[in-house]
Amino acid sequence: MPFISLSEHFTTKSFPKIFLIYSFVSFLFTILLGIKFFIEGPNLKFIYFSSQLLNTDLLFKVDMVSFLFLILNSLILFSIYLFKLYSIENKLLHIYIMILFAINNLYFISGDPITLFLFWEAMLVSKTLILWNFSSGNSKRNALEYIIYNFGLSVFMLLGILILITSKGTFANKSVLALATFLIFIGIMVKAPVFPFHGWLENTYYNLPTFITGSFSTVLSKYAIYAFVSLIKVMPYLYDLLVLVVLLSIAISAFIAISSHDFKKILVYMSMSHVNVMVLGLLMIFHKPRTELQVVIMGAVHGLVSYAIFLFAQYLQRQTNDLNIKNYGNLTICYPILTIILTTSLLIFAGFPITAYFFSEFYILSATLKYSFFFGIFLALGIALNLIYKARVFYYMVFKKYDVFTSEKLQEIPINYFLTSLILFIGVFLLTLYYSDILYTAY
Amino acid sequence: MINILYGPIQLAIFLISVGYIFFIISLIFNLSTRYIISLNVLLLLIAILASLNKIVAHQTLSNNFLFIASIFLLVIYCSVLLIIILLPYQLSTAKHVNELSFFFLLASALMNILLYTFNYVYAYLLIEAMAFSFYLFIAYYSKSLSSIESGIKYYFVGTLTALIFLLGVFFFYRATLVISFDQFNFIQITKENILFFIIRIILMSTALAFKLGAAPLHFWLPEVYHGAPFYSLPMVIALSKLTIGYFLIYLLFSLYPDFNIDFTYIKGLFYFLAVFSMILGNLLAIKQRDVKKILAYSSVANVGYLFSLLTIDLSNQVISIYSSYLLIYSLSVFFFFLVLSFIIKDKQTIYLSLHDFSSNLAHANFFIVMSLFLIILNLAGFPPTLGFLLKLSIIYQLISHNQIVLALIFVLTTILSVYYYWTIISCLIESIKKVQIRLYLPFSEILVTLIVLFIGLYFLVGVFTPNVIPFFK
Repeated sequence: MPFISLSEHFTTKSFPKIFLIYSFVSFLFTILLGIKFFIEGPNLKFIYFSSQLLNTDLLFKVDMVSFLFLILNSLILFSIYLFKLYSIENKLLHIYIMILFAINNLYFISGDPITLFLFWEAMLVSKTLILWNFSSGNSKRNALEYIIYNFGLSVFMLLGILILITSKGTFANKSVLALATFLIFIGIMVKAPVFPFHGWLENTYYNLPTFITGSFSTVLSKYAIYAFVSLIKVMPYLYDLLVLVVLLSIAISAFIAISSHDFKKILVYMSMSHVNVMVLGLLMIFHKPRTELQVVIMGAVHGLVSYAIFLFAQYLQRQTNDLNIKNYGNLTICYPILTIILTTSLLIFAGFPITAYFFSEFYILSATLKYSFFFGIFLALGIALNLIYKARVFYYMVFKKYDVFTSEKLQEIPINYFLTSLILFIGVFLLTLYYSDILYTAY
Repeated sequence: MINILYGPIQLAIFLISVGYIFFIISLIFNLSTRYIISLNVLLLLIAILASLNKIVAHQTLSNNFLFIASIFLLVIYCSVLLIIILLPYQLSTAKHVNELSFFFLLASALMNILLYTFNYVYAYLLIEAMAFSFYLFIAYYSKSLSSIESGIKYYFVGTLTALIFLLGVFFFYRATLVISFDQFNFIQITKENILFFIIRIILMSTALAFKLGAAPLHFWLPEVYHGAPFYSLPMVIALSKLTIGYFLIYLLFSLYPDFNIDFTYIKGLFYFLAVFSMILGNLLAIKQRDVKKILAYSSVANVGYLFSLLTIDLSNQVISIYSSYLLIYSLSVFFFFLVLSFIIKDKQTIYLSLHDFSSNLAHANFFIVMSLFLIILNLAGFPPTLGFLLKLSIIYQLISHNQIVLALIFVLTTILSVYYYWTIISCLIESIKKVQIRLYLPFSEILVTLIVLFIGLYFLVGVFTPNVIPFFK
């Protein structure tokens, strides 16, 4: 029977091959889309439904922001299967990951508010499924917590979008638009996440397998940035309060990271803190031009480096099953390549002044200082707090020497991990070149 | 003979008479289940061809209603075809397949006439006749007390509704001296008769709202659905709602050419029903632990969402959205219960707690569970499904017509509904984890899997091409 023979060949081992082909096609498609984008100009649009009932066109579009995030998304997926970084034994996880990355791709090319919201929520479904089935601890609780936070508060975003669509063409009442923008910003605050809507973050990210957390932190945090860039055109209602909340959020996440010794937890809150810096940068769009592009590039660099550092954490967890930074040490002497990956990632995140990350962060800081001295100082303090826990990680894991340490259980990093990290850092380098090109053109 | 089938009512009469002849023949010659089903399928295929022909004929007409009715007709015949094919797999014994398939055929033919009728007395008779089949379906398991109880409850409620409807017809006759939609002339209505006219509209709308199960007239609905056997639910919940919902909007739209009548009373009535249904339906569904009851209360809430559209002026856009929502809701519920009645092991089960639901799902195949998952997402209005787009369209229409409070209640109650849909979804997710991807299946399961997979994908892809609903522009 053909069915039986098919099912015999359709084993767990064949899944990575199938998905390698899928991820390669996805990556190739993104590259081709990019070439088309560079040849045909900045606004590639495809209207898939023109709705009289909703008074809007539903469309896909590709611009620079979409393209950068698409490349990031496809690169991560491709690297998972190309370098065989993880042995995924469950067939379902392959399927969920495929659905999730497909939704990510579609989200980053959505060209109107409703399409954007469709994929914004669609992502929740696959992510909840992953959480429910593959998260450790109380998986049901984690999934439920995640969906309640995200779905419940996204309704504000939907209301904001509806007001935007309803007032299309009649921009007489600016305060209504400011209110709509404020509502949309609440949705963004949940996804980023910004304090006080960050309650789901730890349970969700910490309990997942590290490589999934890595890909989430890399790609899903960019949802907020893309939504902001696509939807918010006017200054939101209660603007100063929002800026203050984002600044507070940077400081709070940095404090939580400082108080922790768990490497993964530090990474999770570090990611939150950095995304908050980006959100703050986006809020500064109204005072300093081109901040949008700075933040997008910063987001792309953050994605690449964040994935590299989570890869490192994954390696530690797999080798030693110990993520307490105090138990490591002396990495410089024992494992130089491993140390280089960790140090490079930390230096980029700390804002070492040769990468695009530094320039973008500096730009955001100067924009904030220009807007308000108080907020600028506050942001500088937040960034300084961020340096503390990075220095702690660096100190404990690289410099400090122990008589007995978990580092002994480690081996030098395998070639596939190294190659992936190398590609990610090359990505950062290319982005920095692109960034300096923009700066050169601008001035 | 083909010409006879062109008329919608002639088609129904043809189906009933030939179906009845087949029924008698099968009784006399004691035909086996296979033959009975084949004969009924043949009849329904003719009906489907005829309804396809009607869709083509009505596509170019300016009257939107005829087109919508022909689509609904096609959906009804296709659905009944599916029910009859799967009937042996939905019942505990194949003993009564003959009788039941005839009654399914009869009910679908009566629905067909109701979709095209202009006459109120006909409508009253048809609703009663349809309900006659439903009493039998619901009280099928004569040894189960709850099944009989539900049948009797449905009978009493049906009679009460019919009485209210008939009273409305009397008032209509008192005001206009005719009993058809298309015969009376509004100019003839004198001032003293306007009151009767308005009372008539309110009575008829109330009767139909009663039949649809809008709160606070919903008290019978969960009890009846709770006791009804699973095989009857696709017909009793989904298809009856489709027909009666359509008849209601057709009835209301027929009043709109006249501007002498103050519509605020009618809109007020629907406002009241919509708000009550949305709030009560969703609130009461939350505490339920029985799948049927959850879906019953969710149907109350969905009727509320539909009625919220009737609080604004009936433009072509509103009619399109109303009909689309009705169609997609009915399809979701239809396929949910069709698949459920197929996969449950003990076919005589009346109560299905969430725990039993979960254990029954463990035996289903992966694609069925995934499709059920999509269907529930569609019911919950979760993106990216068609249900979301339709709910969004309703909210958009409400906001554009300044019904902000209603829109807000709509949104808030929809959030509430996620909780109880989540309880069903959680069972599905648990099962997805356990079920195996089996590719070698019996024929009936392959058929169900393919159909339900198609419907799941329809809801999923439909959000990007809403033209899959022919009248959603």
